Order: sequence, then C-alpha cells, then structure tokens
Amino acid sequence: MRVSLRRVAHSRSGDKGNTSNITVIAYEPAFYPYIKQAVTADALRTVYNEAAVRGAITRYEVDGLGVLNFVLEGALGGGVSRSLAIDNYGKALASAVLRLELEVPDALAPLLRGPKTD
Amino acid sequence: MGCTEGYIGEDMFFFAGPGCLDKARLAETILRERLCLAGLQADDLRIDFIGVNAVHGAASAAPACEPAEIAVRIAARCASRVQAEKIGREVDGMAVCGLASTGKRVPHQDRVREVIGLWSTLVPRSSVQCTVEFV
Repeated sequence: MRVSLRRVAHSRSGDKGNTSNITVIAYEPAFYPYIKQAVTADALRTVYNEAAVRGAITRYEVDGLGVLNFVLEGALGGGVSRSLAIDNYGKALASAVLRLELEVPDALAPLLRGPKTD
Repeated sequence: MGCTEGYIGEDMFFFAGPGCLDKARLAETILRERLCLAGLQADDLRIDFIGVNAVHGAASAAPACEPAEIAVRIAARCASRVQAEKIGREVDGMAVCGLASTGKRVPHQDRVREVIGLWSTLVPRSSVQCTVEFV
C-alpha cells in the first residue's frame, strides 16, 4: 500500500551555520527498510529544490536507530544570524519531507500512525 | 484623548507541510494551558492563524483545505510589562519543547510595547482657550 511518509516516520531539523540536518525517524523498526529504500537523497531533492537548498544533499544511515540523517548544505539563507527567512533556524524545515510517499506491505497497516486519509 | 493602558505582548510561531492546521490547533490548546500555568493576567488575548483567520477573525469561513503553512500569532493586552513579557516567554517554550517542527523567529524583535489608548471625547468649549500665533 502507498502511504505518506508521516504515517511511518517523524522528522526533526537542526542547524549549523548555513547547513541544515534533517532526520527521518522510523516509528517502528519494521518500517525502516522501506523508508531506507524510498527516502533517498534524490527523493529529498524533489522536496527541497535547488532554490531551497543550494548545496549538496548527503544521506547518512543510522541503521541501529532506524534513522536517516540528511545533511543539506546551503539550506539556511546564508546562516541563521544572516538569514532573511522568517524561520531562520529552519526548525520547521523537516516537516516538508513528510510529504513524500512510499510503498509498505499491507501487513504493516496496523502499525501505521496518523490520519488514515494520508 | 490618549490614555496609558498597559502593555501589549505579541509573538508568533510557524507550522508548514502536512498536518500544519491540526498542529496549529493543538499548539493553541497547549499555549493556552501554558499561559494559564504561568498565571498570565490579561485584559484581552487573541490567538490567530495567519492564513486562516487572522484578518476576518471569528467571521472567517472555515478553510476548504489545509493551507501549505500557518503562522500562529498571539497577542495580549496586560496592565504591566511583566505580564506582557509572559507572551514571548511562553512562545519560546513552544518552539523548544512544543510540537515537532515548530518554526520560530529569533532573535526577537520588540515583543512588548506600551499601549496609548485613543478615546473619542468631548471637552466643554469653556475649557478651551483659543489663541493664534504667527511665527
């Protein structure tokens, strides 16, 4: 079945200079292999285009925790203190990635979180 | 007639992406509880969702679909500066230990301002002495 990423994972962002970290955290270990397959650096680029993230997007896999950590360079408008953005830390940046969709086996349906409309 | 009428505290925080409207509603509930725990004493208070109901207020139509993003804006008029400063302080709490992906504007612009209320009034003509002076 095809579901929104936010039914199988949550996300957080953090800042360092002009770089944003975005983590995608599986709600259940059973979801992680499917998240790892679908949520690639290329998939993130479809969410954060070159105008939003001007540098490279690199994925790091933390398999033991069921977490993907993405490092997005050039994501914060020149850095927190210089940025003209209203959310200058990019604290809300991570929520955009949850728009992605992925396939998960029907057998995992009982473990899904969030609104069934997604 | 201008009257000193205390202080207005104001701040905002942001949600974007899927679920942002539900997050804003939940955040409002949490924020009201936080302000209650903080003992806020306000003469008036409003929480708006910019993009949904901030302009037309209670007269706003319900959103037909979820917006792409929402700014939750809170303002309160209080008798003292100390009370008005509680607005910014509790909004800070929402950003660091509230809902996931709460956006926040930092450093802070002026979050508290003094209120000079303007009231229409009539003054007895006999109390006004008119003079004209050419410079």
